[in-house]
Amino acid sequence: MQYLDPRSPNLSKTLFVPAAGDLKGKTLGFLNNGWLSMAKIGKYIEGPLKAKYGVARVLYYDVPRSMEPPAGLLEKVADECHMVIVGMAN
Amino acid sequence: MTTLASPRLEGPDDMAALFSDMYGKGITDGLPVIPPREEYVQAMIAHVELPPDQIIAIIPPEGGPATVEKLAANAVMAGCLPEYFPVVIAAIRALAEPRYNLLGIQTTTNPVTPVLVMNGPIRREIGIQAGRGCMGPGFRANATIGRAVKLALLNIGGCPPGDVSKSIHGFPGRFTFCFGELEEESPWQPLHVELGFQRQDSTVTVFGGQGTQNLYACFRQPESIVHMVADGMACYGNNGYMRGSGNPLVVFSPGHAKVFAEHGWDKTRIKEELFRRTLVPLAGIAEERQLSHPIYLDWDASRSIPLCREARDIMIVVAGGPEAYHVTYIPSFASTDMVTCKIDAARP
Repeated sequence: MQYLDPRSPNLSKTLFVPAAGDLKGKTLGFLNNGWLSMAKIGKYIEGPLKAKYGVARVLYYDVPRSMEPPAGLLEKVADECHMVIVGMAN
Repeated sequence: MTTLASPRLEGPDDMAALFSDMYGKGITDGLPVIPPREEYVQAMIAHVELPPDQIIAIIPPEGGPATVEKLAANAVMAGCLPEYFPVVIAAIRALAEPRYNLLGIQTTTNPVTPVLVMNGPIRREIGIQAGRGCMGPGFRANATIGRAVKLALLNIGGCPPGDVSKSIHGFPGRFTFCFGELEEESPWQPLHVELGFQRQDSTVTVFGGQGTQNLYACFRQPESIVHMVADGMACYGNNGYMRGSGNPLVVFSPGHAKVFAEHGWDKTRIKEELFRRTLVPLAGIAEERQLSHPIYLDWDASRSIPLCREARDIMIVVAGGPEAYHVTYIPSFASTDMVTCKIDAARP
């Protein structure tokens, strides 16, 4: 029997950002949605990010839990960072 | 007949073998489905007279485009009749509103699922059950509309349970959760009128509900009913207490609504009573604070935690059998706001 594929892949991948590439000398941001474990994990990862991959600076931003960030925050992060990790740690 | 763009899949002709084949492809919810053969999908699309490639919404987390054609295929699979399809489209539009937070609802560890509440003439037109047993099982429109939405979220959003949907336990309401308001038996304004729509409008309101709590409240005094209901709602393990947001949903039977109305209680008064009575004193909860940064993390111990932002965010719907016995409480995921979409907008 023949039937239509009900799936709808995001073929254009327009919603996804390109791969980060080389981290050396870059500024990396963490979006922290407030889970207490995220603050610890972020600090823990910061060490090897700098020592092993040459990240120049790590910045932290608080975002709402499970909801959209406030207007303007993502633009500010984009201005200040080369790449960003959404940290949830739950 | 329009040309459909979807890839054609091949499966066995035997129905049982076909179901196993489709299940193996990961495109079902684990229950048997109707294969979305082209003629069935064409009939669904013909009912709304929308272009098959029209994008209704982008569904997270994959970002799949929910075209009319893809939604129709999932509606067929769920067992929808073509006349149900405008409701499916309207529901998807509502779910895609940013304030509903569909990405969070699709991927969270919480058991939350879209809860669809239907209002207006469409309930009668397509047979949405709003009376006894309205939350199921047994009513095709309720069952298949809710299921179509869930299948679309799975297949278009790319959200299989376990790998992407991280709900710890899941919840049977994740198969389908759709019912109507029994407006004709309610002494109050129906939900959609309360939210600014006209009584003759047909609407679907989507909530993010994390389960159902049955409350047996066989009383004849409003004070007793709200006392009992508030006790059941005041469970600080519900997300509402962690976030102080969302729309807790209380479903009263026509019998309970009548008791309230006979004593002069309107929805506003009930909401205020429930809000006040569901405040949880901070001094009475575990001293250790949850890791998910609850709103009360730094609050003084003399304060109490609210269930939601304010009393008016508690929503009341009248549905179910007539007896003033059972109340259903649907706690909110809280990191979500309800959204209402007019169903006419999804028609030609």
